[in-house]
Amino acid sequence: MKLAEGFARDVGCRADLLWRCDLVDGAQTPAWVEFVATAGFSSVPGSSRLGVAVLEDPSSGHRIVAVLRTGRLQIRLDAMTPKPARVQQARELFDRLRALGSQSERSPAEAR
Amino acid sequence: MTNPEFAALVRTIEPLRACFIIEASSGALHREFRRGALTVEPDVVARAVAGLARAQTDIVGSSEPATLTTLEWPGVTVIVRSVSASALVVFFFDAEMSLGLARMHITNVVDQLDAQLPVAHAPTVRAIPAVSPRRDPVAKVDAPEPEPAPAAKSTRATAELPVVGGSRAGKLLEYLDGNAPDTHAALLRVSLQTGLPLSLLKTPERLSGEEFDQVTASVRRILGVEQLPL
Amino acid sequence: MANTIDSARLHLSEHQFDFLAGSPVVVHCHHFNLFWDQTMDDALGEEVGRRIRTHASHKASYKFLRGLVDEVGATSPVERLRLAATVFSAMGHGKLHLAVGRSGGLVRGEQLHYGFGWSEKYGGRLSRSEPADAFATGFSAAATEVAYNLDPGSRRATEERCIVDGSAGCSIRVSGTDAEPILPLGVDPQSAKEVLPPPFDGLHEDQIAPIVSGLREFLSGVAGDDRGVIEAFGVLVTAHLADYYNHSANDVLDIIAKDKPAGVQAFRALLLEAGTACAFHTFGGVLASPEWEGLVGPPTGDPLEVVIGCVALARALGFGRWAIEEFAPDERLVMTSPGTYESVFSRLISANAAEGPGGIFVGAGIGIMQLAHGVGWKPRANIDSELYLNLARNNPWTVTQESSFAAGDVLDRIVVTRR
Repeated sequence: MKLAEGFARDVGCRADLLWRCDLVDGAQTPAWVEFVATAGFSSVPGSSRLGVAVLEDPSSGHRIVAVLRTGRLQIRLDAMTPKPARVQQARELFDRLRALGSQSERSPAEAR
Repeated sequence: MTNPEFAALVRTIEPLRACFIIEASSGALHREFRRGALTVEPDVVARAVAGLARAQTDIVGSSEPATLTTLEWPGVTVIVRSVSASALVVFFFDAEMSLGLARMHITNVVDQLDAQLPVAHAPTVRAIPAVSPRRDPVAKVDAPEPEPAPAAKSTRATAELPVVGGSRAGKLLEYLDGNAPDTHAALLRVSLQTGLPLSLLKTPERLSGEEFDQVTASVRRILGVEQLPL
Repeated sequence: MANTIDSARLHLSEHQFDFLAGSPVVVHCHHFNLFWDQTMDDALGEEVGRRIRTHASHKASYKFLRGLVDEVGATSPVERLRLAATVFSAMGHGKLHLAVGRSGGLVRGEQLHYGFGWSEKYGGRLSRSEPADAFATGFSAAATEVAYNLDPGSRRATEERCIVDGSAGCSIRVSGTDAEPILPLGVDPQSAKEVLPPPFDGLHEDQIAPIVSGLREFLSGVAGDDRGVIEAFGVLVTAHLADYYNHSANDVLDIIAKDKPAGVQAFRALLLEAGTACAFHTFGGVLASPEWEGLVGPPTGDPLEVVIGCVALARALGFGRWAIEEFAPDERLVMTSPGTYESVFSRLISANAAEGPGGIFVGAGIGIMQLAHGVGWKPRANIDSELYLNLARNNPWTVTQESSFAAGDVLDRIVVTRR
């Protein structure tokens, strides 16, 4: 359940709030979402109606939107994130997700 | 911020072919980003634009932050932006890129650069070799087209006007076109604000003195500046 | 409280209009909203423009809030003021603290949509001294009147501080006035039903309908967060009173038609531009969003698919029952609608319906064709201002409105062709 290397600004009407990355294997998205939800992110209810899962980092309010059928991920920074901090916070969240992705590849015993 | 982080910041601007941060006094290259091959060496560019900045300081006094100089080379538009007393940023855009858009990108980038700007004698990516600028196309740096692009962010109290050919009104509207938000709609906004027909604004040489004053006031209003020195 | 507000919703499914407490509601992003207000100010100057916009909000908000308190049975001033603040936030306009008595008082605003949106979009690039939140200002006056059962127009409101000039927050002063009473007119569901022709199908309805259904289901759950901010599909949006847009544009048009007739052409062109930008940025932004990818799949770049998606979005956002009459890729698009949220207002409310300002339906025709043919959708679309400006500068499309519901025709119909 690794994340691909690519990390770039996504289409958005406000500067630097939306960032795109992808799971290497899109078919693993539901499992990835489940895994991340056990690692400090809370699941936002109701979003699966649109075929996406939304996870929220409670400490920052930043969200991750995961397209269940394609593995596309969108980091959606909280609307009030100050402009100068956006790039760095998005990068940090991406790094955190990458680390989680790598962790999920290991066996439960190793992960502990 | 490291050089890769700087590159990541500017890479998303697709029409940007290269971008360098240069230490103003020495011409030392502080950060660099290149997309594909360039016809000139970054080091040569750095040295040349530092010389240009010094020349500008000699001519007009101390160089204000946010000063812009625009150079039009074959296939590429080079814009030099002074961002502090000690730092210049040089942007290489595809020539098709409109100046207005280029300036918008520059504003966005510069807003995020503060933490990366060099102080005098800051560590650099590499030292500048003692080579002379190539005559072509860098030679144009020595004798640039007399088209210093208007510089100021619109938040400044005054803005600088282009000084090349065409009528004053034409230059005024060119300036608006290059700097207004939603630039493609700017002339319509002037028309609405002034009540002057669009057809007249498209032939600015036909403007009377009173109409020119109206247009000037409208341009000031759209750009949010108090005055435009003419 | 949110459930109470939900009970005041009405969806006119046959015409794809949404009503809240009897007032038509549409979804628009901050780019559109700012451009709209700016155009009003361009026409009249900042001071008069702000007055007209505030007045438009006052009229639209009074009708809306009066309907809302009646519909949910809020009787005391406290209940009514609380309801007004709650619905304001739920619609994504920010937060209002309505500390007002019968004679007025001070209203504090946080994250007010226009001021916040302006600062986000232009802050640091442009300076501005005129406050931006005319909608919140008119809303505050109306909320006071409705809370205390006062006559519409008996209170006036002025935004005294706004974050656009660097102030820490926004504040609005409400006070008594002897000005002329206002007429809080607006479109209501019953008169809309009576005036609109029967709906009709266009092409590809079998593909449009399920998308509209999915989008509507999603949007029904979308509301402002605890800060009064809505970000749907990654776009900063408001659920807005359509009467606000329509009152402001009609009032401005009335004035400039008399005082500055040479500006009318530019005014109409700018409203059309607002429609084009709305289609490009909002529709395009949604088509490129993960939510769309989850619901419909990643856009393939097929122009027909883009057109279908845009028409579905227009319906889901409450713009009206837009339909595709004809589409020839790279050549021609004909769209029809048995009225839009603009033309219904013109038909029912405007004194000069035939000359109504219009714009959204006509301008969107251009924006949709730009999205269908000017955007590289694969591997991923880049819907941004830079592309928009490039496309606008080299726009190969022209649009003609061949039928106007506002002017008395049986429907709205536009034809987009190459220049």
